[in-house]
Amino acid sequence: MRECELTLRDGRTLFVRGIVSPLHGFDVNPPFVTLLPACDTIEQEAMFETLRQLVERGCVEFCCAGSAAETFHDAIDSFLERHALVDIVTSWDTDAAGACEYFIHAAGGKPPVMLALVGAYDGLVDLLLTEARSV
Amino acid sequence: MNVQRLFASYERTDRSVIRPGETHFGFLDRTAIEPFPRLRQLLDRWFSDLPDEQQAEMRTRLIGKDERQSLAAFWELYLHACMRAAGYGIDFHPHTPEGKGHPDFLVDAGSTSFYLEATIVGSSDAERGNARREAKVQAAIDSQIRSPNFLLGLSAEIPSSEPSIPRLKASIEGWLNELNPDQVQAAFDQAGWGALPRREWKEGSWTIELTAYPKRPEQRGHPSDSSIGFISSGAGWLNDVGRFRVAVAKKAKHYGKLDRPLVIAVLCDVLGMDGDTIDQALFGRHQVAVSLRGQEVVMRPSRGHQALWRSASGQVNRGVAGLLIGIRINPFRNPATILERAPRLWHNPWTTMPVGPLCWPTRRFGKDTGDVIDEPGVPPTELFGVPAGWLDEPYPPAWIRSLEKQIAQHEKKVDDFRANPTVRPGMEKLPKEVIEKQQQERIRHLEKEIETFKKNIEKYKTGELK
Repeated sequence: MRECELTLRDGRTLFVRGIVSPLHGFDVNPPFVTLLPACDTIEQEAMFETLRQLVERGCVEFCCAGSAAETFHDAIDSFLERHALVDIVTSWDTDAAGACEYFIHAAGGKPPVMLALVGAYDGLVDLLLTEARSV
Repeated sequence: MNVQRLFASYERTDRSVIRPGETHFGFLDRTAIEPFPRLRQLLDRWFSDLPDEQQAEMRTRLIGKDERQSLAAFWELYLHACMRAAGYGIDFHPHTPEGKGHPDFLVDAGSTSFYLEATIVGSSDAERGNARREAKVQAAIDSQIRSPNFLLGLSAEIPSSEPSIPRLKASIEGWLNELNPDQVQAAFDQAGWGALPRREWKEGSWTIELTAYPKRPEQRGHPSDSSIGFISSGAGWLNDVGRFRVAVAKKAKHYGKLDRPLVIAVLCDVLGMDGDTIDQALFGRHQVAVSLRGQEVVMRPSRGHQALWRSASGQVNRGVAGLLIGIRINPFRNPATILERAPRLWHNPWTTMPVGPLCWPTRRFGKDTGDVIDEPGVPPTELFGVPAGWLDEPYPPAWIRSLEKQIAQHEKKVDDFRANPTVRPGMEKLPKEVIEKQQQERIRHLEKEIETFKKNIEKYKTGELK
């Protein structure tokens, strides 16, 4: 599991965490955006409790990255619509590099904080950090 | 000929924008952002068309850290590509009859052959320094020189160092004190502008030309706040037009007497250059001559004396057949300019060695009438064999394209859902109105997301997001 905290050149902060305890040590002011891994192995239902907590803390956009990104995106949309949270934006990219690019450069109108719950996926972390350094 | 490539062949995935300190060529070499891959393809083709012995030097200049040199190298590559596409025979760096250097190309265009010398006009650090010095000297003359009877007209040649203001002041004031304003006025009334006293002041690389204009009698006898009456800004002090004129004049004289026409190809990479400013650099600045005939004010249009084709003493640079002028053709900043902005050949009406029709658009002038005749050339797209708009792709930041991708994906999703509204799993047995409400909520959510993505793009356009 790779966890880190990185300040980008434009002053924004990127937190990389695992899915298991994503909110540990994550005490920041809203708004922020969250990157979620969307591989076939992800237990989507198990993540919804985490999503609820993230929304409560001020997440304005969930970005799904990986081969199952579109399906996962639809599931998150369904969860949000069920809870009348239609102001929360969701986005997806099945291409991991494209997803990381979007997450770093565009998600949520570039709020000061970004949370990436991809710590268990080395490839995604590498792509994300490469993109973060390009800012 | 070996087929050489300018760019290494590998799949590029880097879509980040140009980085601080990165050269434009370095960015072009690594980026996956459209239309730069197509630009690489075009430049690679042009590069492989160069003779083997020219490729190494061309590559070195293109990839160098000096952006101005890199652009100058591009300009030569571009010209070679144009001429090769037009079927011209091209020799590099030919000998000249007097052995004074080697122009860039000797061109055989069938019915005509000519030397072609390429140059660019832009603002280097040194030129920006010159402009600062120029402004300083101009302000010093204006505020320090006491001139009770005359206003001064000024023009200047290239300053590369700062002149001595006290010496300049003493020289100008001494000269003005020797002039009799009544006599100057009488000469002016009789013979016009040519009768005004002129003086050339030189120090180091400075040459300042001064013209004394007599003040009206009631204004004489005391220094005015400002001693400068006007500044020859069209072709004198180092503004963009001045830089253009100086750059071309240097090239015009560089090779001595030639046995074929000389065409100078100038790439102007400065703002403010257009057909009108080029016209003024070639033929003289537009002026209105004002004179008094008794109580009558007489005004007539005229041209300034410092120009590339004409001076106060008559026609100059007659060995130059014409100027091939490209305006802001800069592929590194905007690839589309290669296809959108063809250079134009401005013929010298007084040349001793005219050049025949070429592949570029042309502008000719009647010697005496001043009539302008424009002729079209071969469009760049036709010349280079690429479709119109081939390099038109805009160059937004990577994240704008990411947002556009999200918009497209979400728009498709909402269209699909409208065409085929599905029921969320687990809701199949709920009343119809509940299902319809959920479906409306689904559409509203997707539309809200699209709206948010679009708002973020708008914020970028208005500068709110960077």
